[in-house]
Amino acid sequence: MTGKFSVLTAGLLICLCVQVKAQQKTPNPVFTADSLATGNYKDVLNSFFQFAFERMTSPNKELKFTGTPFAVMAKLDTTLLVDTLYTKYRALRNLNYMVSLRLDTSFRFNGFSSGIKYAIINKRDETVSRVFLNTVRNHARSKQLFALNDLIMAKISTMPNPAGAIMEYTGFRQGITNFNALSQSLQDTILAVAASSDATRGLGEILKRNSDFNLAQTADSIYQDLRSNFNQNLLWTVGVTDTTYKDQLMFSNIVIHTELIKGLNKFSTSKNDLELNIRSQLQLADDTLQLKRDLKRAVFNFEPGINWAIKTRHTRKSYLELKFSGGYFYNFSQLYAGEERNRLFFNGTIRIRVMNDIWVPVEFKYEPKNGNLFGFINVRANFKALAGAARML
Amino acid sequence: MAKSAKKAKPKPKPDTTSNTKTETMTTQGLTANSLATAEAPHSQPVDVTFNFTSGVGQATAVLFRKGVLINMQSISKSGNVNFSEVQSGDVISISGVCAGKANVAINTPTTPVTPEQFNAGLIIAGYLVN
Repeated sequence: MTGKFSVLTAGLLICLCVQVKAQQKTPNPVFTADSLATGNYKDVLNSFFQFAFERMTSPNKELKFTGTPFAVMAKLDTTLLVDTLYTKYRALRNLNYMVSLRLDTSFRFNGFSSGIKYAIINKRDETVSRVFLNTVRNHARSKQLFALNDLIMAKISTMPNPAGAIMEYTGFRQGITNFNALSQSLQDTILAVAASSDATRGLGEILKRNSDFNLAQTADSIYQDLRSNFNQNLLWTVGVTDTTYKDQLMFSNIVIHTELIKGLNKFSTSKNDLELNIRSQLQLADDTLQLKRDLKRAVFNFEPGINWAIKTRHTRKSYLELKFSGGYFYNFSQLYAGEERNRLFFNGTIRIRVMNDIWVPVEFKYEPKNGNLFGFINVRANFKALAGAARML
Repeated sequence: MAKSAKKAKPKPKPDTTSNTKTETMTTQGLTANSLATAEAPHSQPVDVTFNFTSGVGQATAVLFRKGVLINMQSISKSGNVNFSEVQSGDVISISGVCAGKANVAINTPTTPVTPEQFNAGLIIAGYLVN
């Protein structure tokens, strides 16, 4: 056991070292849809790959892999990532599959699970949304930056020696140089052209007041604010999951489930997200009162909840998420001894981001009637396979 | 209602001679010949290629010559924008948005050099044709 923890600790340390080194190389962090999404959202629908070690403290542990067929296809054929093809595979990107190995307390094989999930409504995928693009492009602050860029380019085209000026300006627009680090002549030129048009006069005033203005960071902040709001749109998924017996390739359990998430504080000035999360499922399991194996035990579960994602001020990444929910269970089948037909739970999940793409959710379940309290610890890692594939193009 | 309708004045006709773009341009000392490219032997057609990946994108490319807007074209998916007559010293301004990644390439030597890659967000760039 100590050996396993040592290996895990060493792995985490290596990953942390790689992270620190990567940060040193890239002074301006690049935010992707995956890195900014809340952990709860990635659990409901995964864009790329997710690897999870669930219920670590439970006798029934689970080693789970979730992915999308599109991620695999794009890995094999990167031309699928080009927008003209990418938009045609929207349905495939809304499909998730899952395979998992169930393990007992001694980490021995205890059954196999598989499942599929499809997003019936996915209004969060900004990568295919023209509405989102238009929103960003027509935003007042974006228009100011575009207009200033055009004015500066027009001015540079009149200069007798434009090469030096455009190289200096390139450093500014790429975020390598702040406004106050530009040469005085270029600063004066930018302020003069900004003052020459109504469209950029406000931005010129900002440049005067805020000498360490960084154009790339400002542009990124505008985009991320709008993207963050867009990612509070409705997402509704349905799916089915099955589990086999450990000694027989036969279903011991089938779960038909649906889940809905929707942001509650869209366009709020708060940096933290509040989202509604409703889950419902019908579980068909083996009735152990019967001698033969069957799926006659049916339990319905309804779980409405609220997820609160606490985000960092500048990068807008959620580092801690708290989820509170209620759980109602109804048993349609013949009851076992001492079992109740209706059960009510209160659930809490604390989801801690330990690294950029690794979450550790700690789940608690409390049954008020009996005073029972259960707890589970999971580890989930999201892999940005598509981002890597895109770089190869 | 009828009384107020009788008093209503006709709307002033829009001034068709005004040009809202001129306030931003520096046009000192320019003549028609200084901007003409038709007979300029060193003018050339130039393609600006946009390649959007992992998401949709849109962009506008504007060609400036001596402070004057010569040509402006927009694109809403991967492809080329063609400027038929481009001279050395012209500047191409690029603005747009991409939801995944964008790659901008100009098929003539420029300062800074292309292709240039942009991550999800606003695309703000400019290139001097060498």
